Amino acid sequence: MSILFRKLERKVYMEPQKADELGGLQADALRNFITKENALSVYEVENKLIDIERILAAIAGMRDNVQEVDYATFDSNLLEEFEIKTKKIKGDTADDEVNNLHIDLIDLTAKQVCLLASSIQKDGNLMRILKKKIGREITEGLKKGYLNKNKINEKLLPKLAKYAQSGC
Amino acid sequence: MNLVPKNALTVLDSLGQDVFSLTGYAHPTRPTFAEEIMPAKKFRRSYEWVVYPDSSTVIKRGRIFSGSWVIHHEIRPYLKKEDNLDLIIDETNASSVDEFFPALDIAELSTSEEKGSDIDRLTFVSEKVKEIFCDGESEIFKAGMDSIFSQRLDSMINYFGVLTLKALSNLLSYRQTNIELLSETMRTVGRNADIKTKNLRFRLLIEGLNHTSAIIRDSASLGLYDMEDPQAIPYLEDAISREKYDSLKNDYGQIIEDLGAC
Repeated sequence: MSILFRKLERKVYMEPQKADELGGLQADALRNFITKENALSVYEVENKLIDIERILAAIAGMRDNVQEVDYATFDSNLLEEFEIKTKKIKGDTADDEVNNLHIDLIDLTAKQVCLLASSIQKDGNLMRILKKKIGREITEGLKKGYLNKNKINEKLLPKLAKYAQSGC
Repeated sequence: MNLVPKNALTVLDSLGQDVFSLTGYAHPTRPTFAEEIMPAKKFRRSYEWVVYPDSSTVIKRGRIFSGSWVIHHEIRPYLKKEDNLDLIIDETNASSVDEFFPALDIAELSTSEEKGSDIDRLTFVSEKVKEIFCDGESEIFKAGMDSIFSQRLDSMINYFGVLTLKALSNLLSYRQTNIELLSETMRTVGRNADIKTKNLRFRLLIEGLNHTSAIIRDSASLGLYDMEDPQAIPYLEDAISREKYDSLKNDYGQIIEDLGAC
């Protein structure tokens, strides 16, 4: 068993109490699960060999702005339960080790996506890391060499200076 | 002596070095356009040279974003006989965007009654903001990525300050406004760096905390966080007491903790 990590556009789209009000998964929740060629991108965090924060920094390093990251973690058993196929595909972040954790959930049907989203909402963890921590994680990653500066979004680099300076 | 330029590009060459990108070409029946964009400005101000097919008239016109064109200069080579084109600019009909929309005196606007011209400007700005919202409908927003919508809105705040925020406040209370665009607006307002409108932007975000949509409340709280102003803390505490969703309460709490730590 391992833990899977999925970056969310916004966790507010899958607010659990809203689902209770509507009597089921709200349609907006699917905005966090927009497929490309019937595939969804996730990272597999086996036995916590790598910190979630490092994955967050790698993902945030691809953005234009230092901004909070919303994400979900969930049990990989869900994939078996919903007969979801996977394919190991190297990620394209600035952190090579994180890239090796990337897998695609493939050949997804709309029903599988709904079941997965619903289960993540119910049993998974919906989390948010605010931008100050994200900024610090990226600068730390660059300092320690986890993150390849050449692969970091050019627009982001000049915005990182303030996070390298203070503890706030 | 034939003083009429043979084609549009000849005219443009004569007009100087400011024209650095050309769109179109000398066409026998249609006007030719050359675009000049002022990169130093944060807002997109475009100038365009329009050369009529027979080169009888050249017009320099400008506009902000995709607003109405305002004619700056009109040159009529046929009507003038000198070869120095600088001398034949018709200044009598010239007007500029700056004349129409001078920099606003924020202090005056916020303390005095609106005058007729201010109302005109508010109408203009409201229309521009609506236009930006209308264009934004077709845009797909990605977390952490710049959007054309937010860049245009940011420019509007920088240039039209108070008036833009008034227009946005109206849209915030209008029930049919697109929630995603309002949400993006909250983030843009929070990230904007214009010091003159800081208080108004802060107030707009506080207003956003009371919105009926959880998506807007969430964005407003993040907008306040982006402003990095600990004065938001009591408002966020108040918001926690009203908030019906537990996860949003936690998110507000996280922001309060972070704002209080600095």
